Amino acid sequence: MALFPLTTCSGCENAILDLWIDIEETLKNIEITYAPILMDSEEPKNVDVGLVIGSIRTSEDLNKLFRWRDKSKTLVAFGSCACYGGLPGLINNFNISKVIIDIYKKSIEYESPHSLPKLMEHIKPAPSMVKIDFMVPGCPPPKMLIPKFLNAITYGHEFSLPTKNLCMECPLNTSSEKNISEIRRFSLNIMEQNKCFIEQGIICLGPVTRCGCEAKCIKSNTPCRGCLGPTLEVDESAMKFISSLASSLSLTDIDIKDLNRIKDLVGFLYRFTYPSSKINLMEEKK
Amino acid sequence: MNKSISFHPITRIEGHAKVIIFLDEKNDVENAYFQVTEFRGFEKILINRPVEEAPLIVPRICGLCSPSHHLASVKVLDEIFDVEVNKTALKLRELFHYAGILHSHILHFFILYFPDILFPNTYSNVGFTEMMKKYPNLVKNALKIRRLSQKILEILGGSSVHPSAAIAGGFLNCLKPSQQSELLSETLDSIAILNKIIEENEEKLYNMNNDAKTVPSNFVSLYSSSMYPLYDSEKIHAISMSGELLASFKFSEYFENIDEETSPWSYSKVPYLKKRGLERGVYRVGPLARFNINDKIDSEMAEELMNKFLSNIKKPIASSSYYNIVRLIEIAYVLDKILEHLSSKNVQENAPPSKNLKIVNNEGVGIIEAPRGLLIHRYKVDADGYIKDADMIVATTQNTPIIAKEITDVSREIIHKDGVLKEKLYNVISKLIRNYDPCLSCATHSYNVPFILEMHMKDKVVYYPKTF
Repeated sequence: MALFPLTTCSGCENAILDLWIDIEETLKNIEITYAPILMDSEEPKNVDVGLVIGSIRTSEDLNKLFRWRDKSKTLVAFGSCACYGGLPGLINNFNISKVIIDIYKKSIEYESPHSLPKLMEHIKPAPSMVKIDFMVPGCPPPKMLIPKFLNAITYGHEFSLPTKNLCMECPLNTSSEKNISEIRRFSLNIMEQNKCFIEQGIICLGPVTRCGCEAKCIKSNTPCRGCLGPTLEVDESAMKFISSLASSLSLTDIDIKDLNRIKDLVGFLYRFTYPSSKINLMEEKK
Repeated sequence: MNKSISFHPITRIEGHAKVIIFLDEKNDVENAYFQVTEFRGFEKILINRPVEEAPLIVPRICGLCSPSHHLASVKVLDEIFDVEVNKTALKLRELFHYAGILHSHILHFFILYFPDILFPNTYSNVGFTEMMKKYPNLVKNALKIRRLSQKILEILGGSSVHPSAAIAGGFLNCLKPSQQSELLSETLDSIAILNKIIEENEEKLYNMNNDAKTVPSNFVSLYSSSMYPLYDSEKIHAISMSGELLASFKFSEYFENIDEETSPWSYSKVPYLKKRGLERGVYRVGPLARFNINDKIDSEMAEELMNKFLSNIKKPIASSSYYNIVRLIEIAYVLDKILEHLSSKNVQENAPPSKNLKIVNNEGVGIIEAPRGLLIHRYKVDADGYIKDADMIVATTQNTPIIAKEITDVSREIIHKDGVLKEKLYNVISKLIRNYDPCLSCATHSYNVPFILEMHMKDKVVYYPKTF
């Protein structure tokens, strides 16, 4: 197995290391032949399983990805950056070349062999460029998911991602009707502990986010920000979320216009998935 | 352009870097560069986002020091909303911070750095898998200690990587009595394990700095007269390589004392002490700086280790090789502080928002000692609390000019003495880089710094320290 890092924060690598003691048995059947953060070995000629970590930011990243696709029997997009472009993908809202010209009054030339790697127009997720055999999303992939996945590729078990939304796993989920009376911002007001965030008018992406993390953020009193990605194959999370929010509003205490108080919808709905979202693809086509 | 040698990637560090050495016609080193080749742009990503989301976004700058970014960000919020951080929140934040440092330091010292000590004269592949084969118990023990920090971060923040728990003026989570006693017992185990590791590797630890070379630089870190400051302090101190106090300032005065210049050779800026100017103002941060600047270590265990390994060294220590032993001392320090925090009932109560907050200041500065050194977050917000401007200065960025100088000096020395021996060059250069425990994902957060080497070469201007 090889850990193939693109533009990454190294959190996914760190998360794998955190599980080392727990996956000792599985590890007996895995030989890691490449992982630059951990060892000095050069890129192997071939590998059974390659874990692509991080997203495609530079042309160097893209070339590496093509090369690694060729070398790997099975190529896995590991972590939300690899699967969806990740949180750094939010920069796709800005035109990179314009930003550079803005600062330096000229564009970068990339002619020398020692020039900095060329920045691509937009951050791209791996599945948009090469065939990906498995996706293991999460920022980082939750510790419940990683061993399941490693066992699957090692022993040939079935592996598939959950399809239900986080509310299914959430300890705060009451099946009572929600009656939101005010839209509130997280942590700036008195919050009721052990009460569904959405019921309190605080944005939580649970309804449109894949489960599989056992709601660890919710259990830490933080609302879900969607790092495991959308439940839907076709990304209509935005519509689904707004309509579910709208239908949860109290009939008497709040006007639907108050939903305008939610600024930065993109930052909430696509925090980890912007590069693979419809909106970004539409922007690009423009 | 004449001959050049380059090394890419550098292994056993966090992030992507390239070393380029340019030789002149006589095959002498003309210049060498430490290039941070990755880029993401968090200062831009934060624009127009609700400020309370910043502590959830910025941990993603780096997966090794995410707790530090989270806390630095929350400290900015403390100022913007002008909220008191009560004792409960403070103790929990400190515990969270110490766990984060332990998590990062164990990774660096035992997994990234120590292979060079265990396999000293090997130019071939060393690293984690070699260590697991030849020193399986050492690896297991190091990961056991790391497991403690993981558990604390998971319980307090949901995850050991990108945890979140701190909020403006508070801290959302706390420990149940059963969790606390379990963690306490694990802490005692970890301390015993650490002592065992040190005992078993004593000779190697004593000899770690045999090849130490003097590298001149200023140093900057938090300063406290009553403790070894990692979470907070009254002042930041800057000292020269001779130990002279160059500046002492409050957090709010940071930007009056330190400026940043765009680096000509990488996606990373060059911070420097204003009063000294760019060439003489670059400085090192991190364990070595903290150790050089502070005299008080409020931990018996850490003090013992200091006396054991550093009793005959005069401060300020100049050689970057000593970063590592100080990191080991800091591992002992944070274990001791974790023990202290887990021995009090303070951490059994959380500090959720107690009132509705309003924007009081449109700007806030949050400063903390991250594992790798001083970390600064500053945001400006509009009247509704949406971020208009964000500035982050991270530890590794501050070290890069001195890393570049060390690379130049050492490659000059080797090439002069032995000629162009690529393997030896890589071996020595990568080791010196590793001393700094660089975090290049951090160093490259900023979007406005791309530059090309050719521009720099034409001007023949060199932005690294010549004299102090």
